[in-house]
Amino acid sequence: MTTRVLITGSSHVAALKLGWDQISTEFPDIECIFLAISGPQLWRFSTNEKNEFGIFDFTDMSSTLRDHFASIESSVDLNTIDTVLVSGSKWEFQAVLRALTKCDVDGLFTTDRDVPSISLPMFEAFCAEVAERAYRSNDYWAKHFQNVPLSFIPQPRLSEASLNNEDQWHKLKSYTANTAKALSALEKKYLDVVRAHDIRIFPQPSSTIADNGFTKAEYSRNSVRLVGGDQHPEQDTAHMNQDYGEIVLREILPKMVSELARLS
Amino acid sequence: MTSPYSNLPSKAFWRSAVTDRPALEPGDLYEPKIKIRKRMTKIVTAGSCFAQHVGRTLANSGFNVLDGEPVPLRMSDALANRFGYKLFSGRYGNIYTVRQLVQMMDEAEGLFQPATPVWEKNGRYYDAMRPNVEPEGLESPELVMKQRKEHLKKVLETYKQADLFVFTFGLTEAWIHKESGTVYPTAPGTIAGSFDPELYEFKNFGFTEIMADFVSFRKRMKKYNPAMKFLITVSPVPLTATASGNHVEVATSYSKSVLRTVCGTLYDKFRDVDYFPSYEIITSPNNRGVYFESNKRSVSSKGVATAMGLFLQAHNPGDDAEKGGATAQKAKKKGPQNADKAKDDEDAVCEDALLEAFAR
Repeated sequence: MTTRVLITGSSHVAALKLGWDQISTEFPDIECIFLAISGPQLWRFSTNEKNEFGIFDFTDMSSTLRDHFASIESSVDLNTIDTVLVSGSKWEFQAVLRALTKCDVDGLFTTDRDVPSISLPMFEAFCAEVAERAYRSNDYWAKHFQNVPLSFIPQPRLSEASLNNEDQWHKLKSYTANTAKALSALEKKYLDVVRAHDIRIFPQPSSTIADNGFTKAEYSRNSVRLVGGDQHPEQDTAHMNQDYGEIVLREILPKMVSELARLS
Repeated sequence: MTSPYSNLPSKAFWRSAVTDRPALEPGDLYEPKIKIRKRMTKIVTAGSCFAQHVGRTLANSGFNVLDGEPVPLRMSDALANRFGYKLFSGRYGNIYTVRQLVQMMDEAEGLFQPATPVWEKNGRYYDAMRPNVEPEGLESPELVMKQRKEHLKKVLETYKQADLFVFTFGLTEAWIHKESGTVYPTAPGTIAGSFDPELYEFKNFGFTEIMADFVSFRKRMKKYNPAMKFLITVSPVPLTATASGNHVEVATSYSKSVLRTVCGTLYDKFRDVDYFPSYEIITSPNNRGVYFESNKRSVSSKGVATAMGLFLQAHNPGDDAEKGGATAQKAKKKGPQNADKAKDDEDAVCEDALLEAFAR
């Protein structure tokens, strides 16, 4: 029996789609259906009275995007879907990185900079607040999929290449010894918050994470746009490539299927 | 024959000034003695938990309230407040007694070392001089002392920049270290530490001591800035508990009377000291107690808005005081849910309220 998995979300779905194209033959019992739209347009997704999920209103949509959705199915009948995976749920890791540019955290992130220090309990409380806020910015997914098992994979951590970018996290480049611990502190809070809402969440595979807590640079090279299939510009450090997509799906699809079996 | 009362203004007479005043009308209780130039006068604030309302209202109304320890992260005010940020001009928490204030400045200048500066509870360590700023405590006494050192440095830098010091007198009762005289904001054993009657004792500061402490503090601030001015108030919040042996109402009356007398004397003695009658505004019989919450102790957001509205009207007559100052009032206009949220965000952080847990 085939398990039908709807993989939806933002532009981060592109890496999963490319990855799936490479590995789908390894999973003959799984069918993945992809339906995604860029982050700023996510509000266009809705469900209708027929229990279909997708885009039903094309008002004021760019012609490129309209053409894209004309060439694919722009909605999915949720009655035919066994489980849903939302890719790219925002967990606001940038908030932690911004924090680390401004202060040290006693016992977690200490540097020789002339910046204020905050305590570890305060940093953890800050992470908890960020995680709650981040979940609230994603909670519409739970409303869309009330009758289908729902899983999240968080937005991938930025590529470590962003440390070389003067417009991004260059300020942290000399202080990456403990950025991983700081990012993990937030990730843990975010996982806890999402799980508390009965949503399954799979953390980013550890094999894709560099020692500094960012995504290994190799996974952001030659990433591809969701619409049109062009490559992202070289300085794009947010989107990941096909290799990343393969690793993620290999790790989580079997878990999703076994969870479904357990539930049934 | 004329009476010395015959030419006095109506505000001098209870009947015209209070009896005939509409209920909840705050009246003309305050005429500023000093001028505060909005955005120009650099203000520092300290005091008991009621002082948090004063500082917040001033800051929200565009006054230049200095913050020597700004919260370095983007977070909600409620969370920042929980860790002692955005309450006063430094992260010192509530300063209930003037002795505590003097002691903090002595320590900042390297003239004083508190006895038992770190308190322990369940393997976590707390700054005995501000035990509430890290509600979960820290991992080691060393971290507490490191934070304290950084904090005091910032306090000193900030106070040296100030033009106006705003202080709310809170309590006369305190707990001190017998041998050194170190005064603590809370009794040992309330938030952390443990009470040892061999080491600590109760102290009810009297007029002479409080007066002397404030005069010495004023002298120190004048050294930093000879043009420094002072705006003092008495917290209208009654004691949560008293260790004096008296009934808590009697003890409250005594404590507030002493503090009010100190303020009156300072006001009369120094041209640069002004008194703002928040105590009188909140406790006036004209209010029939409605400026207190149901526990008859905490000041309601309406009470805070009224008191601070009067303050802003006096110092900022061009603006609509209600609009400019009373943040709680503003939220109230937006609807009850927002008012509740604003209240949650703006509730004062009061360590002394923790004594409630010991009530029988």
